[in-house]
Amino acid sequence: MIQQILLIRKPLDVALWWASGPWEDLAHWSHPLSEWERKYAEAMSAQTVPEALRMWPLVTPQRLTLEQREDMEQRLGTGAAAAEGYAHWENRRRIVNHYVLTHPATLQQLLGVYGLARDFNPLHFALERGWQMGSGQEMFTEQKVSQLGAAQEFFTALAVGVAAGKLMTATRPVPGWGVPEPVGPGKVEAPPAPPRAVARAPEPAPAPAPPAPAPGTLAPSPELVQALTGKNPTPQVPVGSRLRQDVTVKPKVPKLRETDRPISPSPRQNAQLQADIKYLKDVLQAENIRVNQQQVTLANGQRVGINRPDLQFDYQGQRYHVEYDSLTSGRGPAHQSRLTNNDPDAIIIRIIIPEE
Amino acid sequence: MKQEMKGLLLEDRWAPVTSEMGFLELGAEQAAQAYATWAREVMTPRGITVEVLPVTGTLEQVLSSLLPLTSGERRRHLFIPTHSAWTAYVADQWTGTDAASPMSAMARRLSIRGLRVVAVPHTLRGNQGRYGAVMLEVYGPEQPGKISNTVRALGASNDGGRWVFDQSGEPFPFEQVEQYQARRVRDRFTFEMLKDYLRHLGLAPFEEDFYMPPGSCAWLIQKTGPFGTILQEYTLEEARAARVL
Repeated sequence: MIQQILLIRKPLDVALWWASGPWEDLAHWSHPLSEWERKYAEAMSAQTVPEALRMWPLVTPQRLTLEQREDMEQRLGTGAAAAEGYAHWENRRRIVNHYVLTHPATLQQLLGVYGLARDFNPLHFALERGWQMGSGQEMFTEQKVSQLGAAQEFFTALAVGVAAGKLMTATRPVPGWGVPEPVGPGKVEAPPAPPRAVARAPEPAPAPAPPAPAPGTLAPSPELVQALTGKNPTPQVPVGSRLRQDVTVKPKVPKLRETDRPISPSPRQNAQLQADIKYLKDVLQAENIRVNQQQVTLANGQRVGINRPDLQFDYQGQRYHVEYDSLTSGRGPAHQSRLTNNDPDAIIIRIIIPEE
Repeated sequence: MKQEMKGLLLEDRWAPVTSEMGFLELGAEQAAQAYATWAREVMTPRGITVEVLPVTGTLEQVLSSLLPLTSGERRRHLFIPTHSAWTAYVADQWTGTDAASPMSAMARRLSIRGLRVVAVPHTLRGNQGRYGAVMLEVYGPEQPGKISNTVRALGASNDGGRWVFDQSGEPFPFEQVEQYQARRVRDRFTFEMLKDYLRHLGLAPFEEDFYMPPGSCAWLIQKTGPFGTILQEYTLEEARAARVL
C-alpha cells in the first residue's frame, strides 16, 4: 500500500483509490502489514509527533469496536482469523486516512476553506481583523500576520461597503417609473416560469478511471490465449487447506456486476483486462464473466471464498480464474493457492503486466 | 431482511430463469438465426451441432422448452418475440440466465442495441433466499477507440453481504439521476426505476402479455454433441429449491 501511495502521491487521488478498491475489497487487503506499512504507522503514531498530526495507534483484533465487529462479520465472517484480517485492513485504512488528512496540500486546502468561511460573515471579518491588528496573529491558527496588512484589509472592506451602500441608494427604483410593483397574492397570476434546465445531480465519487493505452492495438493476453488452448503457462499448484473465512462463506451467489470496473490503479492492467474480456465474449463465447467479485464455481454454482479474483469465467464447461500482477508484486502465488484451495476443479491463470 | 418487489414476470414463478433476461433490438427469428450462425462458428469445430427450432404456445409453454435446466455448458437458448422491436433472450443455466456475455457480443456483432435486465428481490435470511439486485446494462455497436461496447450500466445489488451501486456511461435523458444520491445504496436504483427506464426504451418485460404476439413463435437454439463436462440436469422445482427459496 505504501508503494501505491508513493505512486499516486496526491492525497485526493489516494483517497479515491482507497474508496474504489481496498475499501470495498477488504479480503485483498487483510494480510499482515508489510514492513513499510508497520514503519509508517510506528513513526507517525510515536509520542514525538505533535498531537494534531499524530496517527491513531494500530488496532489489534481484541480492540475492535462493536461496530467494526459487525462490519467484519458481514464482510469476512467470524472467528480469530477474520478478526486478525479485519484489524490489518483497519490499520491500512488508518494509514491512508492519516496520509490524506495530514498531507500539506490537504491542510492548505482546509486553511483556505476556513479563511473563506471566516471572512464571509462581516462581523467575523471585522473581529478577526481587529484581533490581527492588535496581536499580529491569526485568531484561530495563531499564524503570524502583518498588522499593517490587516488594517489595510479592514479599511478597504469598510470603504467598499460604504460606497456600495451609497450606490444602491442612488439607483433604487422609484415605484411607477416603468418597473412593475410586486404582485399581491391572488391579484395577478405570475407569468409562467421559463423552462429551467434541470441540472444533473452530481454523480457519486467516481472510481479513478485512468487513461487506457490505445485500445485498438491491444491483443488478448498471450497467457490467456495459451491457457485456453490447453497450454497454460501458469503451473497449477497442489490443493491445500482453505482459510476459515472462505470455508464459512455462504454458498449463495450474488449477481455478476458490470465488467467495466477497474481492477487496479494501473491503466495498463485495466486496459488489458478489457481486451481479454472482449476476446472471451466475442471470440470464445465464454460466459458468467466476473470482475473483482468473490470467487464462485462453474455456472455460478456456489460461492467458495471471499477472495476476489481479478477475472473469472466459464469456457467449455470449465471455470477459470485470472490474476493480473506486476513484475514486482509478490502476492500472485498466495492468490493462486487460495483460488485452488477454494475450487480444486478450477484452472488458474496468472498474467504479468509490465509496469509503466 | 426481505425486500418487496411486486410485479415480477409471471409472479417470479420462473425464477431463476427469468430473474435475468437479455433483449436484442431485432426480430426473434433474425436474432435466433444470427446467434446460431455465431454459435456454429465456435461449436462446429468441436463436433457440436446447432439447430434452430420454432416453439409455439403461451409464454410459460415456450419457457418450458428450456427444461431440463443444466449445469456446465449451455445447451439451449431461447429467443422470444415481443410486442415491440425487441426480442427476449433466456437460457437453460440452472442458476439463471447469463445475459451479459451473449447480449454484449451480439450487439457488437450485429451493430444493434442489446440489454441485460436483472430483477431479484433481496430475500436472504440465514442460508435461505437470494441476494437482491436491480440492474440494467445497455450495449451497442462497436465504438471506434473503445474496447467495451457498454453504452450505459446501472446496478444496485447486494454483492455477497454489502450493497453496492455501479454505474458507467452517459445517463439517458429520462434517468432520475438525483436518485443516485440516495443515502441507502439499494434505493439508488430500484425496481420501479428499472421498469420506468425500460418503458422509455420501449419495453414492458415484467408483463406476461408483452411476449408472444398472436401468430408468432419463439425460437429455440438446441446444441447437441460431445460436450466435455459431466451434465447435471435439474427440474425448475429443483433449481428453485436450491437457488430461489
